Amino acid sequence: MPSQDLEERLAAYYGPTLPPRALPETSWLQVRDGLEKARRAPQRAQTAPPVLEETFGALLTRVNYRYPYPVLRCDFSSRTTTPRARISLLSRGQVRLALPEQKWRTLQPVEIEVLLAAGLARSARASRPLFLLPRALFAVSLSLAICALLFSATDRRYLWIFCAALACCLAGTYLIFWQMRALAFRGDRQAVAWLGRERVCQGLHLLAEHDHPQRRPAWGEPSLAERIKRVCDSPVTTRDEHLTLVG
Amino acid sequence: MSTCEDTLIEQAKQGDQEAFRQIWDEHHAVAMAAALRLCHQPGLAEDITQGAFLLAWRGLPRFQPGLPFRPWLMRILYRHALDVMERQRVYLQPLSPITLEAPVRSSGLYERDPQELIAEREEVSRALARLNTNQRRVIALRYGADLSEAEIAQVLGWPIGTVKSRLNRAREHLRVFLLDERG
Repeated sequence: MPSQDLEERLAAYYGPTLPPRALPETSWLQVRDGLEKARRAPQRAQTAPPVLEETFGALLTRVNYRYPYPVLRCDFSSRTTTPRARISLLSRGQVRLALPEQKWRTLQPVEIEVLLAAGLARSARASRPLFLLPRALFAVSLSLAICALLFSATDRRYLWIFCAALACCLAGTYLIFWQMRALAFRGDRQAVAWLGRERVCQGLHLLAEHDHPQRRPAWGEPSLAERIKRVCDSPVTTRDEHLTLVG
Repeated sequence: MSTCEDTLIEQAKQGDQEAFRQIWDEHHAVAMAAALRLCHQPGLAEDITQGAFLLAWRGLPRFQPGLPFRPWLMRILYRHALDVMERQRVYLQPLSPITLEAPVRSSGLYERDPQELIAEREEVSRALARLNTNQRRVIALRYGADLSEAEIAQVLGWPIGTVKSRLNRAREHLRVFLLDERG
């Protein structure tokens, strides 16, 4: 097919520039309702690139997220190879993404959406009291263990308390590990509810392309292979929409 | 940009909805026409326009005073339109004769047989559906919004070299797909 023909066909498909089309008053009223909702939300400080901020804003609007909106924060590092969502323990109400310093610009929109949706879902669940219990157990038992260790120099009986506190510490660590994984899987389920299974599958597969097969996932973070296995009912390839040209 | 619009934007930044209403009055019809040209569906185009204005409202604190407002708004609109169209898989939906004819009727430039024109546009639509997401985005902005490669790079946040290569690849694929469509 000559290139001129293709240009003409695309020009005919989209048509010429249309004249301005005024919308009815009801359309403005719908926008105004949206403004009212946005007005009640606190202004968020910009802690992420505008492209990610806008996608995040669009996601919050689309899923009708409850106010107050969480803040999107991106941590760029040259050591990060696989982009991932993180949980912020100290500053609640944050969605944190760990992104590779330069390569984040090559992320496709579907990858960004899946990252943001998974991060948003995790952030929402992480603020629940049940999520904080194992952390509280860990913190208390660690403090107790340190104190018991210090006092054991004067009284041997404190060694038993130290051992018990240490056991609690280990149990707390295991619980946190298990909970982090459960949170990641639940986050994915929520992302499926928001974006649709196919889109989430596609995003996860594309993210897995950044993953180095021999690199272990971060502590408490399930591997992308595990997440894909749980989310995708049927195998979805990243080249789902790409057709191979033959001949 | 006029001082009046500067003032309105500043007021809207402070949360003045009446000022934003005036901005809406000034720009929404052009935004709607651009959205309609991209997606060919009046209902969806209206949703896209409303969504773009809501995103613009939320992004107003990031708008740099002194710059023209419309190009900034249109960048938001295009990005939002492409997201919505991909999400709703617009290219896979059969276009009704009304939506197919809408841009044609309004242009008044086409004097060909409408049925033939519709069949041709359906062929293009099917070929577009076979492209990957990024190729569809770049084609839509190039031909559906008449943006230059530099402007596309600005809208999508890609390097200009990436835009050029994706555009070329998309054209190559489209040629093959359109030949396939004709059997």
